[in-house]
Amino acid sequence: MSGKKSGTALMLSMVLGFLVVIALNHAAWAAPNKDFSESIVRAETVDGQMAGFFKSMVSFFQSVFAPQSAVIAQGEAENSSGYVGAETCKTCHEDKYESYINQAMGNKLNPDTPAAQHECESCHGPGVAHVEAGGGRGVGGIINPGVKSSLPVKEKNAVCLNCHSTGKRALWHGSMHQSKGLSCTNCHSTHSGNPKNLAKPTQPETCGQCHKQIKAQIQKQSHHPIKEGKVNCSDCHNPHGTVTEKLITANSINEKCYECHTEKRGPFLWEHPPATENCLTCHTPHGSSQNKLLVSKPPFLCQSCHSNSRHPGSLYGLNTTTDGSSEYVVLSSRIYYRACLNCHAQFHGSNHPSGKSFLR
Amino acid sequence: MKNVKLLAALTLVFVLLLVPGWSFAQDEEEGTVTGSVSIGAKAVSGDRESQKFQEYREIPRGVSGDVELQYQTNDKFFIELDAKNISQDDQKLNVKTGKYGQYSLEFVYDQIPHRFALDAKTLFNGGGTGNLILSDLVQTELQNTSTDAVGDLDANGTANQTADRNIAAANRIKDLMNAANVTDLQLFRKKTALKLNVTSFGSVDWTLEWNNEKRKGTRPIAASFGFGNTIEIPEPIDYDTNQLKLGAEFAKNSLYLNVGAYVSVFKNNVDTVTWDNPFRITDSTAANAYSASYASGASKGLHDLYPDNKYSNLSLTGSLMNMPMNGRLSLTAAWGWMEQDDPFVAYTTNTAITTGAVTGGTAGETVPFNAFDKANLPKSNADAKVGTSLLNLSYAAHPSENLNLKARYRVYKYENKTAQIAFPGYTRADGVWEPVAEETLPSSYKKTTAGLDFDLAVSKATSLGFGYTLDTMQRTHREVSKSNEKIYNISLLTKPADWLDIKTSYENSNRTGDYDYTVPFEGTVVTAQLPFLRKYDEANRKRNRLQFMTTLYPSESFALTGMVIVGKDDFMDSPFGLLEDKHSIYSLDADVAVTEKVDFYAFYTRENYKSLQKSRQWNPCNPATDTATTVGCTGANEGSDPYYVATGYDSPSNWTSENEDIVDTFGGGFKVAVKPEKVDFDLNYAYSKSDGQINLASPLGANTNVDSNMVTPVSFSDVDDITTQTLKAKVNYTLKKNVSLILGYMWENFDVKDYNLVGFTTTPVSATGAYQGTLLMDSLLKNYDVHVVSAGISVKF
Repeated sequence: MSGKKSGTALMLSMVLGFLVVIALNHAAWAAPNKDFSESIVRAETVDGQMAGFFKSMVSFFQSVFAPQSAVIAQGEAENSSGYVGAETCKTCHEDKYESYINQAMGNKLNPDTPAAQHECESCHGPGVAHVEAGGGRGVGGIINPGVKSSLPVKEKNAVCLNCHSTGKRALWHGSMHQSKGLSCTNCHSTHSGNPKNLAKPTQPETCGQCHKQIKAQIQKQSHHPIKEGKVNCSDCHNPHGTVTEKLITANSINEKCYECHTEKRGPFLWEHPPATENCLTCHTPHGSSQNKLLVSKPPFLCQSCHSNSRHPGSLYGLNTTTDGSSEYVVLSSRIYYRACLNCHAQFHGSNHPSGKSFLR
Repeated sequence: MKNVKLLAALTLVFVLLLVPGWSFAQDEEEGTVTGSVSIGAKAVSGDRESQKFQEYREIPRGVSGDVELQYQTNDKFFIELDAKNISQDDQKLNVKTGKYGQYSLEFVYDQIPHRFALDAKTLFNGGGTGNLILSDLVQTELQNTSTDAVGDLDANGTANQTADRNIAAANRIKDLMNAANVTDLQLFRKKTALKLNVTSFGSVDWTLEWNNEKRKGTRPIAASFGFGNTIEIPEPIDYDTNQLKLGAEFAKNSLYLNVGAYVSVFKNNVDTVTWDNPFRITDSTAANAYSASYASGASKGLHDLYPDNKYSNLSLTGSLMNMPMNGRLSLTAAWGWMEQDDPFVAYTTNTAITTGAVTGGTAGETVPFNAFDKANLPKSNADAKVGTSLLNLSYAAHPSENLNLKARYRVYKYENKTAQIAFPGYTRADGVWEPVAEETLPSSYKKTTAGLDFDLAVSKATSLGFGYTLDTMQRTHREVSKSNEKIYNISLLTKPADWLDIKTSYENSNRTGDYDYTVPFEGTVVTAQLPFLRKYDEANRKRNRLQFMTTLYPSESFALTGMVIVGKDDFMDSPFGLLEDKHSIYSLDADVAVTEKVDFYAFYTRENYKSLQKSRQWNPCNPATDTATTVGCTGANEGSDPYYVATGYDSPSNWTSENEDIVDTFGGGFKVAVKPEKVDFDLNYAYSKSDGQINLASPLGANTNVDSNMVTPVSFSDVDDITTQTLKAKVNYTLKKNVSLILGYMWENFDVKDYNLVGFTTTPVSATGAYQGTLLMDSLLKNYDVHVVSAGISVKF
């Protein structure tokens, strides 16, 4: 397929795909009280109170797709039966209250937060029975989804998935972490005060709770700028589930690498097939003692696959040699410095007509 | 200047976004502003010149700061600003605005430096451009030096033209390098992103994201002119990447649907880099490619740098819940297109490789055309195209209270649709025409995965998992056209008590396929590859992996985690190549709140990676034309040519390499509330040490003619032996409720021992002073030892 044809196909597919979504959307608005997650509360009319140019854009889409104001289902927020309110919770759990109220989940202005619904009881369940029984762990059916709680994982997760079931969580069911018995609270806590309610201050620290080897690898001399805070675990992985191995957020490992290393995408005139197939044939992504995140040191890495005649198959050691009068150590230019890459510089692929051996 | 620009931009963006918010807020109640401003200064002493110290960051001497601001009104309008490391090379700005529950608009600007070498040395002018130039005088002088008259005496007083001129060249190069240009090899990524998210359209969320990344700078790259000649140049980096993502997510009842489109366009603003040959001012053609060096060849070389390319992708994900057996059916389909159509450069820039010039092939063979003329290429543009596709289907079900199951099917295709191009030959390192016909091999692959997983809850606290996966890999233009890998895994998850958590899993897999070693060398009479070698990414393999992790909670405030990971890849049918790859990782981690005022943590991890590979030094003979007495096919060649005489696995020219890397990482720290809500003290320390070795072995033969390894191989004991240590201390003193004084100290030490660094010079010479044909820029790792003292103030409001 030519570039032009493939571009046209892409555009047509996009238009078709979006028409489907729009049609479904229109149908959804016609029956607004059936939301995907019954407890997602979007109790707000779209009345045009938006900032700047954005207001007019949203209004435009509304006029095209839904002339009337759309009132999206309010959940059961108004049903206060069994709820005691946060002030009552605070009397015994002030530290927990304070640790949640001053961060994103405690923002009452945001209708998607627990604070805008039943506050503490949005997650911990109605508290009347708990209060009347005098409190205590699990007393009165109070829910504790915390990491150390003995509540079954499925029940812990139901608390969070009640609201967080779309977006990055859409593929949670059957995902690697779900099947490993992880609960949301292994990694998140609404009381932590950390970004994204992470259990630890940063993503690497949170993921490093279990992935100890990765935690150690990012300390190595050759690493992505993870400990510098410029790359996060979620830049490459979605811990909630993806369709690719290792929870990679792309259709293949290479497609993920190409998002930042776009120049290596090619396709090239002369391909280096193992590189085209999987960057991890030669690289380890989290950290390496060798430069460039290589899995081992050239020339030995290259010689794992190349035992061609003459120099690729040669043994390069820390050998002595002689000029006839004295012995001295000499490193071949094929092991010194970048070893093979001292000459084969374009090893990711070459577009040069004389580039088959990646010398150019 | 850059600081002023950033601050001006930051202020402007903030004001622009804030004004409409305020104007809309007039009808409602007043908005609230919260946030913090931190400003501080650092004093740095030590070796900041090591590329590793500031590899992806800047630790500046002087003043810098962070700002966080949040503004929101009662009508749900909000704006957030987060600026980090303002004015530094690694600064980041994030501004987000919108209305809660309706839409958000986010602007991100992020800078990431990447230092490859600071204070590197080069003889070239024009760094950062595609034209690296040397003084003609230097080129002329070195060319004349290297063509010293035959019969001159060498250092030992004997006639030795090569050694003599090498020594002269080495001395001259060393003189020149003493006055070489000093340059920093580094690049900067500057990312700008605009993200729009609309959540107010019923059940559909819309996202639109545009990203632009500019990468600019230089990095070291090799630029050789042939065997025995290694030159390092600053590769100019000037990339632009624009990416657009559009997504819509629909959720209603049991249906979830996500449609996404993605386009990424990469543009390299420097198509090629041309560099002068330090040793030649005039073009010439080398009579023999294998001896081509600075004495003959091109006056300049040319790299065709990464070509512009484009990638588009369309994806559709759907999910249906409430299916039979409490199931959830998920489907993802995606189609992608990769395209690259850069114009080709000529075979060479060497104007001496003309019609009728000598070649590197058989005596008497001549170059068929002017190789420097693009008109003689079989095609003018790459016209390279790849189609990718993904189909992923999964069914996760919960048929009973105790059982979870998941069925998986996945197909990923990478179809290279680029037409094959046949070239009549090529130029080797711009020095000589090689009349060896070559055809491009646009390889494709298809990976199919099918699997079934069961999780059985045998008790309230324990579950057992079983899984089976069949991976099938199909490839074109590679040695293994089809391979199957059967993967079995079992797992045990148990939490027998509140204080104990155990997770363990074991995986066993077996990959088999037919290895055809002649495939990559279609059309050639004699294979260039040792036919016994098996490339490890395709070879038959048995894999075993065991993971065990347990966490103990001796008390509410104490967690102790132990972990063991061991694994082994056994390439059981590979006589040569990578034979074995093993790893073992042990970790212990403690996290304890000693008292209400003291938190303590400590960790230790030991990693051990070991691999074994085997190879042979050999030279080819051609069974179609050579005999045992053919010149070049006797002696050492005869004994080591696996196609001709030594057709078995055993040869005195075989060798093995056992590569080992042991890494110890440990650290710890504590946080003390010295005076609660008044004085906090943090102390953290991290240590990492890698100890690499390469152990070589070879059977020594008795006959020097058949044994290429007559000298006992000497192993490497210092292979990237690197120790890094970081100590950080911080005191946070609360002056007032919202005002804190922060004092900090950091010590970092980086120490590297590697065989490359022993006696390093940018112009290495042998013990006799003979030049090794190498001209480097000094981009190897450098040690550092740095102390940083900082003081700052943070105001919250």
